[in-house]
Amino acid sequence: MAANLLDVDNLSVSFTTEAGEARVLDAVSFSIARGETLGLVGESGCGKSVTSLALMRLLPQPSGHITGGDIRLDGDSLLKKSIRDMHAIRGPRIGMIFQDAMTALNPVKRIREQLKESLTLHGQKLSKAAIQARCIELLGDVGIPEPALRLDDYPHQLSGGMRQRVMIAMALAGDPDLLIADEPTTALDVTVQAQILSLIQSIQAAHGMAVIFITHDLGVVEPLCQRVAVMYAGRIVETAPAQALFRDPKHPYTQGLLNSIPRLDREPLTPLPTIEGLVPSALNMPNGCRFAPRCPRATDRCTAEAPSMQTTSDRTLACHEVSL
Amino acid sequence: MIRLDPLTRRQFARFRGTKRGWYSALILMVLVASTAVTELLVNNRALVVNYQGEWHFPVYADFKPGTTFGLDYAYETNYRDLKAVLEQSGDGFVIMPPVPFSPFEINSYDGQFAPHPPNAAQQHYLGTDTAGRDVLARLAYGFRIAIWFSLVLLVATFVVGIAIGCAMGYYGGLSDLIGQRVIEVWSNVPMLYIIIIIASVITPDFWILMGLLFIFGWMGMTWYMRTATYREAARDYVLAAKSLGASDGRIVFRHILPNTLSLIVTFIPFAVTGGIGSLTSLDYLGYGLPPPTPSWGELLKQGTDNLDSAWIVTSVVSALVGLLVMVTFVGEAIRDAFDPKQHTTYQ
Repeated sequence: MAANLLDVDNLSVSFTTEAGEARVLDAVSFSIARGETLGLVGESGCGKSVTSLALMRLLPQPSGHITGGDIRLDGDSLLKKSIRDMHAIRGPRIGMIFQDAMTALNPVKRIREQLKESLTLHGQKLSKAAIQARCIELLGDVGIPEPALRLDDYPHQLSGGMRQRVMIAMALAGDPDLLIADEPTTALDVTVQAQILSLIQSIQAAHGMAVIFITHDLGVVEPLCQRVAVMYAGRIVETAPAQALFRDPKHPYTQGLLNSIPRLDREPLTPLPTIEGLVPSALNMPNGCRFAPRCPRATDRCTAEAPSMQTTSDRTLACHEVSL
Repeated sequence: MIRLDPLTRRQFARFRGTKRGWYSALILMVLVASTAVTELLVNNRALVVNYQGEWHFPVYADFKPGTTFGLDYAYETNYRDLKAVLEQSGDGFVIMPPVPFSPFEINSYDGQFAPHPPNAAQQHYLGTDTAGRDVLARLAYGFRIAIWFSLVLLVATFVVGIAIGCAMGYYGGLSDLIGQRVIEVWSNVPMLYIIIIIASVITPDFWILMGLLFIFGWMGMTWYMRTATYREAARDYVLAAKSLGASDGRIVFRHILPNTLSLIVTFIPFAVTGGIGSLTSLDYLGYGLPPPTPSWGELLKQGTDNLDSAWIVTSVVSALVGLLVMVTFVGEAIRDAFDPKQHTTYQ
């Protein structure tokens, strides 16, 4: 029996493009214990969403494929499973919340039908009354007022926040062990964001789910997540307990990210620090450390040789210049 | 009573709001429903005969020889004559259908040559064709064949076309590439020549003709469904359904298909008019249903060959144009009413 709910071990993903093979994920490893929340943080295009899709084996076909590594759920390799077995895992074992609830709900189906589908998809025989009751309960759980009335609505009749709540309710319907939340609050305004975040927290507490929280917004990571993995250009550069990461970031990239958050206690009228340069193209990755071209502390060794992962009991770090 | 939710009611209200579509639909529904009882409306057999106190209902009965009614012949009773006879003798009465002619019956009148012009006294309201058969009777029975031919063809081509189009669009890749090429090649087989060749070997009946038009007609829908499925399959809700563990079939039929409904509905009237048009033109060319099957195409052919008997061509062209225009109006109204993208616009 594996100790962790999910182990991702040296996962590599490539996309076949017209310009060649793009290695979007390169030896990504992390793990999640039951009930834990892991924040997966990085810039746009660093591979966060691809990681989440790869976990569900839902990479865009036919271009995306897993080229190496392993994903184990409760010690079972997901990569060896048949598509039919994967259907049984998506939903009851791993649920997913998408960034844009506007498009992730089927526009021509009522909320009732969409919820009902997630309840009955896996062979459960439920009576009509039981489905109705469970749908209302789910919508109530995610904080939708007058859930019985909302059941007959179409997605376009709901506000953005309501739709995101419905998405969460659909993901919860299968009572998954692991919830992947792929930037669930990016499309929402700030007040609704806060509500959705606290909703995810309370649901997690109530159901004892593990959550992978994918975001580019460091501000939401600290209160929500126990551990944080920082991704850069398809690699994980640092993982640490959330508080330790924010107090004492080790990797130059993490430091750069944290420095570029606007703060009230910063000296007024000074320019906001930024990380110079751009994320390298997945088609043309630097040989050594992928952050080296933008890193203030890069040396010749950094451009020549990729750093190996340093690990302690609760942190990992991939950097030549800094040690744990 | 079926419980109608507000949205369906609103769609229905919007459908009714398009007046010409709504009235066309009413007329078409009546016309299509009437094909179930065409025999009661257009027939040379009487609806009711009361002869010497006995009741007869010859429409759906076996043929009754003239001797049944005291006439001096053993072939099938001419009920129009019987009516005149009984009115004179007072032995009973006959109620004839509104158009008392069969589509196959050749009517001749002393001192006149067919085609006979419209004549209310003879009850040839639209005249007769060159063989002396009543035009209105031929139109009515021809309509029955044409509309059902077209509806059955519609269902067959749509079921197959949608299924194949969805499969190509959803699975994409090699299956799409190969499927498309096969369909392109198949589309270029000249349907008309095949039908001419086959019609010269065997006499096509309703189902053979339907089969031929189906074999060469199912491709039309695949193009549209393929692109529509491509577009819908890239949407997040499909990914969301996959993340819930939905199977491919379920995603295609429960999620993608409903989203392409307005597209499908838009094509239905075109397919109906197309089916009627195909049958009519094949009949016109003489490769359709064998004579003496009542058909609009054959009537159109007679009409254009005998332009001095203008009632033939006028009747059939009016009927054809009227029917096709009504179907198009209905299609337009349905599309407006069902378009899910219109729910949020203000009218």
